[in-house]
Amino acid sequence: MDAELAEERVLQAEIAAVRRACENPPAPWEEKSRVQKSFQAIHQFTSEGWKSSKDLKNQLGHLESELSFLSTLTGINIRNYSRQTEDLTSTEMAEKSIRKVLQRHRLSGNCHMVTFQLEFQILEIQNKERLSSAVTDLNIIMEPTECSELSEFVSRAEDRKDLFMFFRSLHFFVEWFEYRKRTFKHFKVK
Amino acid sequence: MAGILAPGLGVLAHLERLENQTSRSRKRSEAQAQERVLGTKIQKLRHLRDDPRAALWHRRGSVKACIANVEPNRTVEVNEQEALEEKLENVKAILQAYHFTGLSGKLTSRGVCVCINTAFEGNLLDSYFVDLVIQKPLRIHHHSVPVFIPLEEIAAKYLQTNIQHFLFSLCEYLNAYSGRKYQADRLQSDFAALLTGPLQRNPLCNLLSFTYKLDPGGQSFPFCARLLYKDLTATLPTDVTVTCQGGEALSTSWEEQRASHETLFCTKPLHQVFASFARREKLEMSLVS
Repeated sequence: MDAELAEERVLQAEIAAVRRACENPPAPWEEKSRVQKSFQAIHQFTSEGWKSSKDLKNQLGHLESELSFLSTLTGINIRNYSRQTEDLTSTEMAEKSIRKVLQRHRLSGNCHMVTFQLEFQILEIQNKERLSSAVTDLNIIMEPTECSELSEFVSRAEDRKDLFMFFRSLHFFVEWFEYRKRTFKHFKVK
Repeated sequence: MAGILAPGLGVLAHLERLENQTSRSRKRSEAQAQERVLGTKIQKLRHLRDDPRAALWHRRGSVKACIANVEPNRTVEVNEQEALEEKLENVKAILQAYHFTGLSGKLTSRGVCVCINTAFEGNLLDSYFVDLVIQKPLRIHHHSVPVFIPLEEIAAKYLQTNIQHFLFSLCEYLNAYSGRKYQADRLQSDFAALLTGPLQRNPLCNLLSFTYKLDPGGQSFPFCARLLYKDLTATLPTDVTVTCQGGEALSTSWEEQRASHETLFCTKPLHQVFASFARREKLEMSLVS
């Protein structure tokens, strides 16, 4: 193996030399990154070949059952999630070892027949003593929109920026609603 | 552009990969596999060195372009793999997102490890975990719940009959504890100037005792407050007593203040009450000067 590794190194150096001879010499840092990128591409291509489809399918299966468990446990079915991060650290802050990061999250899903879409922001401030994490903005869109009890706890959750309260209340509300529906159906049949 | 490149290069790479996948490569050891990859790499590098135009193409193009040159059904297999990888990333992301519901978890070989996240008024606070063993009877393998939270009591009531109820109840206790702790911490860190002595608190943060002054430098007597949170699932106290250290009978204005403070502590979070004290003081100071 050692001999091959050595040969690889030698070849890489020779290729670099050939390149330099081929073209107008580019800026030194440009050439280095280009070489690195193409070797990275080859390496990635060959090593990814080893992650067979079967392994991926197994992993996917395991994670999907985890998802199914969480969905049953919380009563909440999350279908989509995405996030973006923005570093708000100014040079002044960096000097004082303070770091400020703004995260933007978007998630959507459903709880039985109620669908929701959330957009919220979390501001993380890290200083020497501690890390603080706070929800700075919370927007909730629900469907159906006509239900007054639903809109009530939604606006309360938005005001208090209370994510957990929103999900817990949604779950309990829908459970109660479903229970009521079943009870009425039961009596109707009779 | 791809035509200029020695087409054998892309096909070689891809065929190598496929050959390894379809054969009993899984049974071969990792080390052997790595050697082959390295060998292939070296072959390719030799080509790259020998063919300057190939070097040019590799620098500009992407490796995926050479796969497109290969037979179409091979491309389908690669696309399936990419689709699987994308789906995997998506599922991983959604699993992470469950943290925002307050309850998330992972399947374990024994059962499940549930993670309870706590927050107070939008401030994300500590997380706790409970590792459950799925057996008859269901039991807690280990956990990070503080000793003063009545975990055994809650488990005795609900664990065997309704896991969901057990976890929701535990969530309530932990979130309330986290919230009370947060208020006490904020009082100590942000309003130390208004306290005339140390804040006394128990680990459960449901019994707080402190003395404070509205005008730190001034002549007035300090107030003494005692907050008791009998309901462990609440973040506001159930019993509040505010007294004035003066001892003698208070003037009506002092009495009014004392009574209003008692009401404030009952209805608003502790640190917010002090924030309003600080604002009032600042306002009065600005009026005087």
